[in-house]
Amino acid sequence: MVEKKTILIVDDSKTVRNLVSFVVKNAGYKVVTAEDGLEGLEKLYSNPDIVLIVSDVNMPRMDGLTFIKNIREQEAFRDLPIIILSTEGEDKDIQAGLEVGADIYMVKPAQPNKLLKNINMLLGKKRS
Amino acid sequence: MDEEVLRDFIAEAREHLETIEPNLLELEKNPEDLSIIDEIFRPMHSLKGASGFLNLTKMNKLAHKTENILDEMRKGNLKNTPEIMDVVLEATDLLRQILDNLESSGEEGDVEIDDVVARIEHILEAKPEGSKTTEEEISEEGTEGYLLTINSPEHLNDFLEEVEDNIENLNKLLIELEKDPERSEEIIQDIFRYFHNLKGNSGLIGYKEFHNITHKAETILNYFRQNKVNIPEDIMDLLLKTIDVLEELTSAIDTKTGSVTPPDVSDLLKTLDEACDKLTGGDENIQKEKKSVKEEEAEDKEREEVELIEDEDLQIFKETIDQQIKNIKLALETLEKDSSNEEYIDGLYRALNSIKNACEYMEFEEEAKYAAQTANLVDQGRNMDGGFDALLSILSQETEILEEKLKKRIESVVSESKKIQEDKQAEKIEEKKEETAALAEEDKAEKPKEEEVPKKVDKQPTKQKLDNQKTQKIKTSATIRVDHEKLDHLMNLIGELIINRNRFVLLTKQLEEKKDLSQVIQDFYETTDALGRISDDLQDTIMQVRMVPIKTVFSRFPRLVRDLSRKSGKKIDLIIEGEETELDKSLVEMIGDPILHLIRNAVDHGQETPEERRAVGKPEVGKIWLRAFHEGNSVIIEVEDDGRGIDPEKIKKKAVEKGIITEDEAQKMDDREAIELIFAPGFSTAEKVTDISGRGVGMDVVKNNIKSLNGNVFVHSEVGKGTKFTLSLPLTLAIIEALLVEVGKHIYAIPLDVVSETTKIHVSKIYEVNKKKTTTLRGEVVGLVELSEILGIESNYNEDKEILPLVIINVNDRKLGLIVDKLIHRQEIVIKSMGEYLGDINGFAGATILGDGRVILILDPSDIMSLSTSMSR
Repeated sequence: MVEKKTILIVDDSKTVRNLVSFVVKNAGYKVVTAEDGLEGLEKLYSNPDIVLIVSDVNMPRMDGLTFIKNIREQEAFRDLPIIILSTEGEDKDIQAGLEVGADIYMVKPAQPNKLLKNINMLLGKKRS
Repeated sequence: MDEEVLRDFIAEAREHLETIEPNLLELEKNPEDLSIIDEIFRPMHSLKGASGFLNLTKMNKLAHKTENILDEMRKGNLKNTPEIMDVVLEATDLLRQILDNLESSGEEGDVEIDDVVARIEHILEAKPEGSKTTEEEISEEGTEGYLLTINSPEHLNDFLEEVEDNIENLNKLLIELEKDPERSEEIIQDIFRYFHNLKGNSGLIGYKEFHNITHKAETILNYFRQNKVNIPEDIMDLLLKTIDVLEELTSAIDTKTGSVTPPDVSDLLKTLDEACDKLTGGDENIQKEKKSVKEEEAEDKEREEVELIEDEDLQIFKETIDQQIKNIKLALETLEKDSSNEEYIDGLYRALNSIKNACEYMEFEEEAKYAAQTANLVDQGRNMDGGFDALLSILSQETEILEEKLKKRIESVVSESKKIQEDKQAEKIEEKKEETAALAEEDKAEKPKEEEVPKKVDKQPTKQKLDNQKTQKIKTSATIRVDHEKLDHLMNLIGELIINRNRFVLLTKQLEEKKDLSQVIQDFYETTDALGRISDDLQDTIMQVRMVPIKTVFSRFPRLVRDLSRKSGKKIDLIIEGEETELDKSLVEMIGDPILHLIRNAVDHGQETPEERRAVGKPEVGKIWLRAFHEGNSVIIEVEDDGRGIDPEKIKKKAVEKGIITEDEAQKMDDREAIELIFAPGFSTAEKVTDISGRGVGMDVVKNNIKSLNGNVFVHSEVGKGTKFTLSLPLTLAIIEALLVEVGKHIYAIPLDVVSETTKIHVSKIYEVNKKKTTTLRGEVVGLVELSEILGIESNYNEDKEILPLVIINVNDRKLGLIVDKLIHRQEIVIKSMGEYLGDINGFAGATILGDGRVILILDPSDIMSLSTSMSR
C-alpha cells in the first residue's frame, strides 16, 4: 500500500480545521491539525510525513506569518509547499504572505474543492 | 407535449403540493413564522417555473399569483390573514385539481381559476403602499432563503458551536471593556479577533448576511485597534446590538437542511456603515479597506464570469501560475540586488517546482518538463557555494520563456473548450433538426413504427384516441421504488428456484427408472422442503417490495380536518400516529376514501361544538386520532374521537323509524349490535344533512369498501366519551393463512386471524338458550351455530355423533363457535376474487385453489357472524 501523504492544517477555528480536514481526508490524505503557529511547529517537527501545510494567518500565540518564517529558516523545510488560507485578501496581505515563503495565498472564503485542487497541484498529483 | 416530460412534471408537481400543504397548515398555526412562508414559496416558485415551461397556462397563472402573494408576505409587505390563508389554500386545491386532470386526460381541463386569481389580485392591490413589486423583481429576488456551503451537518454544528463560543466571549469582553478601560488595548485586540473569526467562518459556510455584518464590525474594531483609542458608548451599544443580531442570524439556520432564511438585517448594516463612515472621516485606512472590498467583489464577479466558460481546474491552474510567476519575479528582483539571499533562492525554486507540479496536474507535459529543468538549474545553483548571480540572467530568460509557454497553453485550452461547447450546441441543433425531419418523414409515410416512436405519432389520431393513449400510458407507469438489495435477493431466490426445479426433473426421472424408492421419497421430501423455503422467502420479499408507508394517505388529512373544523366552527386537533406503518401499495390506494369518510364523520357527528364541550367539562379543543399499526397479519387503522359518542338508543329509534329493524328486534338488541346498525344500508343519524358529511354516502359504503379489500370495520363507542372506528386490513391482498374445514361434501377456508381456537365438544355440553345453541368454554358462554345451517348445505352431521369439532371465531371481540364436520389443517392460501359475474356473495370473501386443483370458498367471518344473529331471530 502506498504511504498516505500527510497534510498539516493550522487554523484557530475549529470549523475551518474540520472542514478542510474533511475535504482533504476525503481526497485520500492524512491530516494533522494545529490551533496556532506554535502548535503547528510542534506538529511539524513530530511528523516527518508532512508534505504540505495549509495555514491561517491571524491566530493567537503565534501568527501564520511568523510560523511560516520559522519554517523557512530551516533547511529541511525550505521546499515544503505552504498554502495560506486567510480572511485578509488585500494586496499587501498577499504580498506579505508570499514574501515570508508561502507558495499559494488563498483568500477565505475559499471553495473547499478549490483548496483541494491547489493542494493537488502543489503536490503534482495528476487530476483524474 | 412529451408524455415522459408530463409524467415527470406531474410527479414533481405532486411533491411540491405535498410540501406546500402541510406548511400552509403550519403557517396558519404560526402566522408570524417567515421561514414557513419560504418553505411554501420555493415549491410554488418551482411549480410556476415548470408549468410555464410546459405551457400549462392555468396552472402557471395560479402558481404565479400565489407566489406573488407569498413573496409579499415573506418580505413583510403583507400581513398574514385568514383571508389570505383561505385563498392560498383554495389556489392549491385548484392546482391539485388541474394536476388530476393532467394525469387523467393529459390536459388542464375545465378548472375555474379566475375567481381565485381575482381575489389574490385584490389582496395584492389592497396591500399598504411602499411595496410595489414588479414581476421582474420577484423572480430576481426569489433566492432569499439559500443553502449554506457545508459538506456535512457536523461542520454546521462545528460552526454553530464556535459561533456560540465566540458570541459568548464577545459579550463577556465588551462588558469587561466597559468596566476595565485599563486593559482596553488587549481586550479590543481580542474582540477584534473574535469578530474576525466569525467573519472567516461565516464566509466559509457561505452565510452572506453574517459575513457582511461581522466584516463591518471587524472594520470598526480595526479602527480602534490601530488608533488605540477607547470605544465610545454609542459604538459599544452598536456592537452589543450587532451581537444580538448575530445570534438571531444563527438561529435562522435550519440545521436539518443546512439552509438559511436570514431575517432582514439591512437596518443594522446601515448603522454599521454609518459608524464606519463617521469613524473614518479623516482616516483613509478604513475607506481604503472599504474600497478594496468593493474591488474584491468586482473581481469576484469578473472571475465568476470567466469561470463560466472555463473549467474549474484551468481556473485554479491559472491562479496558481499567476501567483508563482509573481513569486518568481519578486525573487528575481530581490536576488538582482542581493544574489546571496537564500530565502529567495528557495522561494524561486519552490515557485518553479510548483509550476512543474501544477503542469503535471493538468497533464501539460511539455511545460512541466520545462519548469522542471529550470527548477533544476536553481537547485544546482543553490547547492554551489556562492555565484548564484551568474545564473540570474539565464534564469530570468528561462522563466520568461516558461511564462510565455504557459500563457499560450492556457489560451489554447480555453479556445478549445469554447469550441467544444459551441460544437456541442451546434450538434444539439443539428440533432433537433434531424429529429423533426425524421418526424415529418414518418408522418408522411405513416410507417407502422408506432411501438418505437409512439409519442411522435400522437399527432395523427383523433383527439379522443390521443387522450386515451395518454391516460393509459400514465396509469401503467404507476411505479414502486425498490431497494436494490431486495432485487438482488429476489434474483438469488429465482436462482435457487431453478436449481430446485432441476432436482424435481431428476427425481421424476429416477421414479421412471424405478430406482430405490425409499431414497427417492426421501429426496422428494427434502426437495419439497427446500421449495417451501424458497417460496416463503419469495413471498416475503415480494410482499416487502409492495409495501409502502401509509403516510401517503395520511398526509392529506391534516388539511381536511383543518378545513372541516373551520367550516363547522369546531376546534379540532388531528393527531396522527404510525404514519410510517407499511402496507400493500394497492391497499394504500384504496383506503383513502373510507378513511376520509370516517374522519368527516368524526368531525361532523363525533365532535361537539366548543360550547357543548365546555358545558360537559371537556377541553374546548376536541381531538381526533388517526392511527395505523400492525397487528399480527393485519394492518389496523383507527379513527378515534373524544366527542359525544354514539347513543345506542337513538340509533335503535332511528333504525326502527327507517324500517331497518322492527320494534321487536330493537328490544332484543344489545348496545353493540345497535351501534353496528350505522353500517346498515341507508342509515344516517345526523339530525341535519350538512355540507361535511351525510351526502348520501353512508357508513355502509365504507364497510363495503373495506370488505372488498378483505378487511373489516368495527366501531366502539361510549356515550359522552367518544367513538373509535377500527379498520382491520390484511397486510396484503393476495395471500392469507387459513384454516380448512370440511362441511358436508365441501371444504371451506376460514381466515386464521379470526380463529381464536379450535376444539371438540361433547354433544351433551350444548345447551339451548332462547332457541340459540350455546356452550360454556372455560366458564365463558359462547354461542354456537352449525356452519352447514348458515350456508344452507347438507351436513354429514348425524345424531349419533357425540363429539363435534368446533371452530371458535372472534370478530370484533365477539365470539362464535362454528360446528363443522371436520377440521383439516391450516395452510396459506392465495385469495382469488370470485369474479364479476358472481359478485359479492354474502358469507364469502373469495375463493382459492388447493394443491390438488380443487376450488374452495373462503368464508367471510363477519358475514358469518351477522348471518348467525339474523338467523337466530
